[in-house]
Amino acid sequence: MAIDRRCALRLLAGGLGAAFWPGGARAERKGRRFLSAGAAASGGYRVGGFSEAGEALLDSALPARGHAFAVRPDGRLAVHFARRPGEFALALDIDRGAVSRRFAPPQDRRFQGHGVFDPSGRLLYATENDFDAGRGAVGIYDARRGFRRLGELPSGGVGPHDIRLLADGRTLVVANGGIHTHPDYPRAKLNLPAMEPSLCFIDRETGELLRKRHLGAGLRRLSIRHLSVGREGRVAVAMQYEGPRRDRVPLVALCRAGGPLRPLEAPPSVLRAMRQYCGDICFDRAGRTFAVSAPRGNIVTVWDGADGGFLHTARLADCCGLAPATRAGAFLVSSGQGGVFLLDAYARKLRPFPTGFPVSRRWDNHLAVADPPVARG
Amino acid sequence: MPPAIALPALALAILAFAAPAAAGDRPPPEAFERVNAALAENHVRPRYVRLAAAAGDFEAAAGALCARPGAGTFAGAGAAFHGLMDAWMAAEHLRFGPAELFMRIHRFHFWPEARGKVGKAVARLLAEETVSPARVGRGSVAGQGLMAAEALLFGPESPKTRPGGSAEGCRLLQAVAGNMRDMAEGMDGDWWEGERPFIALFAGPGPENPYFESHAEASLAFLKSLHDGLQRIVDLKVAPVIGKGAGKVRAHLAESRLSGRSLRNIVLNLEALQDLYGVGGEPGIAALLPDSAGKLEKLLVKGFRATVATAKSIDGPLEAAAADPAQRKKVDKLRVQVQALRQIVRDRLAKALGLPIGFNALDGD
Repeated sequence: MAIDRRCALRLLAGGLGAAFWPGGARAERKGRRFLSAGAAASGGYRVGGFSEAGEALLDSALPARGHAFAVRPDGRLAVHFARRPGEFALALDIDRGAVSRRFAPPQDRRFQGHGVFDPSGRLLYATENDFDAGRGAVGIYDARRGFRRLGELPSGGVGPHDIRLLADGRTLVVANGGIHTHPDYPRAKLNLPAMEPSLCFIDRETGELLRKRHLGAGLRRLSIRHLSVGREGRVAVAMQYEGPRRDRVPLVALCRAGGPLRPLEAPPSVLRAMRQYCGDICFDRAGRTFAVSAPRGNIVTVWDGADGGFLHTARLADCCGLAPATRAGAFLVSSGQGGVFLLDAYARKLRPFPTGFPVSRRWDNHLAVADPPVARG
Repeated sequence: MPPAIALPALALAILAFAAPAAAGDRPPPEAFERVNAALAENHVRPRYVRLAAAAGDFEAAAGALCARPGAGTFAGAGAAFHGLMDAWMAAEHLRFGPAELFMRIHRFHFWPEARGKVGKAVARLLAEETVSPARVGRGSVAGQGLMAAEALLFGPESPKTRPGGSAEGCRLLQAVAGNMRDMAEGMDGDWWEGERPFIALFAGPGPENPYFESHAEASLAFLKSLHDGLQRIVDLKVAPVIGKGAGKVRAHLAESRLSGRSLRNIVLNLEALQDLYGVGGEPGIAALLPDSAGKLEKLLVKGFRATVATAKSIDGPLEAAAADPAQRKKVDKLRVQVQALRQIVRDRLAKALGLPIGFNALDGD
């Protein structure tokens, strides 16, 4: 499976006409919807959405570069977070294809780029940087009251990034990357020699730190950044290494319910090809198989979520964002060079996926999926 | 996805635009190999030789201060500090190979720092009864390197090293200096000496090589040094400090604030990057450009010269110049020029060489 940019553009151009720009309000729609930040050909940062049927649904300008999404469980609203250090979040009305509200973290906090809703869709949890204290926080916002901030929980470590909710609806899982940053030097990593990354399980009702998992002393410079939750409480994490380039370290780890965080093995050639950097991770629809993107190495790796075994890879230039597609073992993959692709990990096929956006749209790090609203009786 | 920042209009005015170079005529492998060898010998080697020598001088000056505390030896230690900082600024952009082992880059110059870590680490070490270079080297990264030495000579701890100061002040300065000499000798020696010198890996890429699969990939390490060096100047050393106007300067964020040399650091960084690109003197990255990229080559030469000239025309330190209405325009011009150089390197030089820069240290998420 190999697809380079030129080939991808040709395939996309062949399958689609000119750019499609979405209009106003739309009626009830069927199927799943996908969201991603990106950059238009003109260079402006935007947030876009498209349907499973390949139709653009949303395309709004962003005040600055965006990062990831928290999708409300009913699939009709999502919150899009600015890239860290984030100074804004936008509530997106997915049905109308429009931004419905903009809100900000407190003066002494910055968004870290990820968040998650509680099962009721009322509370939003956002990873934040308490930068003066050098501590991670999880801010709590009330979605029904204009995203007013209700308070915060400690994230259990420094530099929290991705956050998800376990199936119990109560346990938050936070990837604390371990890297301290400060808005004074917005992108600089200020504590690389003293990193202590961790995966923390937090009771969102009491704020109690239930479990804190590390990878061990030899892997302290392995930043735990992104995670995905599969069946039976399994949590798979994707990491980024801050040590010397010659080192070959595991980049993916799996944590079974209550168990240790276990680094997963891959063939040395695959590890090398991943270039010490994973961009995104996502379980498939069935929660059995997961994919990890390595945009610096231009490959997506696929893993068995039950035993953590490495399965295979697919090549795609600057691949990063991942979302589960409808079928088990299938994923949508977005490219920073443009284009979204459907990866069928079982059939081992990669093909362009129409989005209704021009091929010049360069997609940012994460793809989110919003399931259609459940019909009410 | 690379950042999408529109080139400011002012940059266009300062660095006139040339037609984009045709992509695709990537240099042959022999060209990469030849330029890599020349850069290792003529660009890398002298910089680390100078760094090791300057670190030796600094250790000797700290020793003299301890042996004969006085105004003369204190001034000598300060001068040797500046010599060592000069040598580091000329090598700071080389962030691959021996420099990245054992966290040497961070240990040598722990900047930017957060939350006063350097001051705290130095205070802790001052309270210890015995300190040695090895003790400093094993301790907190914040208590090592140029930042710790600066705090001891120019900062809040300097009364302890000044004439009439205490014995522990100069003893710690000596230990910090000795540890830096160890690191500097390591950064130099590990390139060329020992059973597996880095130069063997650098010059012998292949599938089993843990660093480089091809000569082009080794050249890319130099191209990234050029790009990331420019980005560090803008993102860390200039933009956070100068703010959006003369009234919005944040002096406390300046590099080498205590020793008053923030602008000198930038000038030395720029001159090193200019050499790496190959403006005059020894051949640099520019030697890889095909004949068809003549316009781009000239644009970068002109751009580097103009940018270095702007930096040198400013009366430093940077934080003072940025707050001075008479100098503010030059400071803003410097930022725009370095930013424009960086963008030309990323968007056009990389394309002309067929070496995509992709992500860098400040870009991931």
